[in-house]
Amino acid sequence: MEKVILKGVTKDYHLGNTVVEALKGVSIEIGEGEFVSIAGPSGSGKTTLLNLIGCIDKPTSGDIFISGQNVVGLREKQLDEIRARKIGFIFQDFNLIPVLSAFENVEYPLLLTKIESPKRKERVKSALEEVGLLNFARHRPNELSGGQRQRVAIARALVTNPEIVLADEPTGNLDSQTGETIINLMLQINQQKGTTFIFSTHDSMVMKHARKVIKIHDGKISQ
Amino acid sequence: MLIHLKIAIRNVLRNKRRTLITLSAIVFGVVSLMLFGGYMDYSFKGLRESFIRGRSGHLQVYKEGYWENKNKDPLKFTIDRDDYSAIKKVIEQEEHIDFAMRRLEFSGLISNGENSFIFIGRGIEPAQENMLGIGTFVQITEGKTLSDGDQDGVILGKGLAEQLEVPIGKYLTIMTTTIDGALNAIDVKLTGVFNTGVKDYDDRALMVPLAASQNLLYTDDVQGIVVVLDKTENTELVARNLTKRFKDSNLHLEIKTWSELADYYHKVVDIFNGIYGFLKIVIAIIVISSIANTMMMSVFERTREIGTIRALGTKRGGVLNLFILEALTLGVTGGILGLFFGTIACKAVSAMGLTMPPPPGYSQGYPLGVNIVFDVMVFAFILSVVTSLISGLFPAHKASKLEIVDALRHI
Repeated sequence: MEKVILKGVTKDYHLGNTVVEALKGVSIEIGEGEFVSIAGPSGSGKTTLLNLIGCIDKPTSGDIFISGQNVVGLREKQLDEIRARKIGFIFQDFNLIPVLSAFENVEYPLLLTKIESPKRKERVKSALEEVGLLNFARHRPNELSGGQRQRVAIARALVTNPEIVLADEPTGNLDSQTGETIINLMLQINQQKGTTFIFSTHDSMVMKHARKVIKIHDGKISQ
Repeated sequence: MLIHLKIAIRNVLRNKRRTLITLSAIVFGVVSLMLFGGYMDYSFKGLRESFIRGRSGHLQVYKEGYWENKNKDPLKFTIDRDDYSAIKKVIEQEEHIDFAMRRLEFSGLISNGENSFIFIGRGIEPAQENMLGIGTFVQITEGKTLSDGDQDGVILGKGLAEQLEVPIGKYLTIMTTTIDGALNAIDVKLTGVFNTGVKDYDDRALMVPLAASQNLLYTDDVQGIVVVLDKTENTELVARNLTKRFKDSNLHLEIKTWSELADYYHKVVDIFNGIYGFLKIVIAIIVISSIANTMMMSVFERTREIGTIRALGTKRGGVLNLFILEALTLGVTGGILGLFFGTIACKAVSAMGLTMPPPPGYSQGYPLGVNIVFDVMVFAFILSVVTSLISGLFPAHKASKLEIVDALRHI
């Protein structure tokens, strides 16, 4: 079953009196367990595409199917639920909550679902272990390096066992060596767990590791 | 969710300087309310006791019809010896009454042989009047007060004594009309000078033993029985009970509480309460502005964080709760600190031993004191919490309405 299907998706932004067409009719299919990079220059629409798949934005027209469910036209609370249960996010700027420890940051998405405390603690521990940061569980984000923060973010994205992980330029704020480590980590998880990874990037190193590359240019998919 | 409370509290602790400034505004508000409310309570109680002990007693019992007619015919509706015995019997059965005493009011002229002056006089039972307030609330500034053995002594109000200019021990003549309208006079010996603190009263007042006044007016009656209680707080209760008992015993009497007689006191209370109400509003506005400002800054700075938690699946309601909790944390913390510092401030001001100037109509000042009033503390705390909730509402609402993609794009 295809995990993500987009059919004729467009997205327009209104800036004052002008209309910017960020996506001009995009149709793609991404299978379960794929490790896909969406590549393109700045302004090509890759972040917009990711936002739509991640249900944090709505298309102007077209359909989007996540695990067979059309998310277009769903109510806001339903989309909140889908994000909580099915989707994990990794951001370029890490976006960890500054006043929470690494452990608490990873725990946060689990608190949005109704899992009891002992099971939660176990899941958080194993997620941190997976990214090699169990010893740093009590550290606050400002006590961690960039690479460590991104690893915490990956643990957070995975702790709910999502179906899809979306990463917007995950290596953008990291040096090349750390960046490579991160991508390899994501690959490893993808192979072990079969989680679908979709990330946007214009980093050629990252594109190298992807098993499928979707090229986007000026709001359209290019081949 | 508990995690939101954790985040709220930690964010309050995070920016210590800003939190301190915000809390200071709340503490300032609570302390001001406690000081002013406590000062009001102290002043009211002082004024009240001064009136009760220096003038009216807690309750006054008259013959039915006396109060309406007292200006036209003060000697018409009186309480005779039989009435008095009956009243005494009823009073003995009632709890909370310390004692009761008779008073006979009259007016006339007093002369030192050379000049005459108008007076307002009162025939008293000296031992009981001393238990009420003569010697304590009513100061004796010269000589001594009357005692039960005195047959023909008189004590004069300060202003009246100054006008008459006679030494202690000298005789004066007082002249009035009897109950039947005939002129009568007696000689009285100046025993002492008193000061109630109320100038208009002290300029005209004098007191003689009850027997002397009854002699003068040719009557065995009195107009009023003054009832003194164990605690002022029991006034309404005892008034109700006595009214019922008098009715049940078929006595045609009316009762006035000190409150019904204390016109000046109520005017003072009303003015103070008006000012206090104004103060409450001003403080509420200050506290709301302070917290709202802090919360708006907090929301602005954490826009990206809000976008992130929304992307993770937090609902709009969750974001609203997060910021409401932060505002409440400020309000509750500020409230508690305010009560703490307020208590210290009240105690400190009372300990300073300052003297307030005399209130209008009084001839002497009184020591400054601030009571710690439970009701004021409760109100101040609730005000802190409610104002913090109100201040947090708008920023929290704005936060919850943010669009995720816009929030994530924020710096």
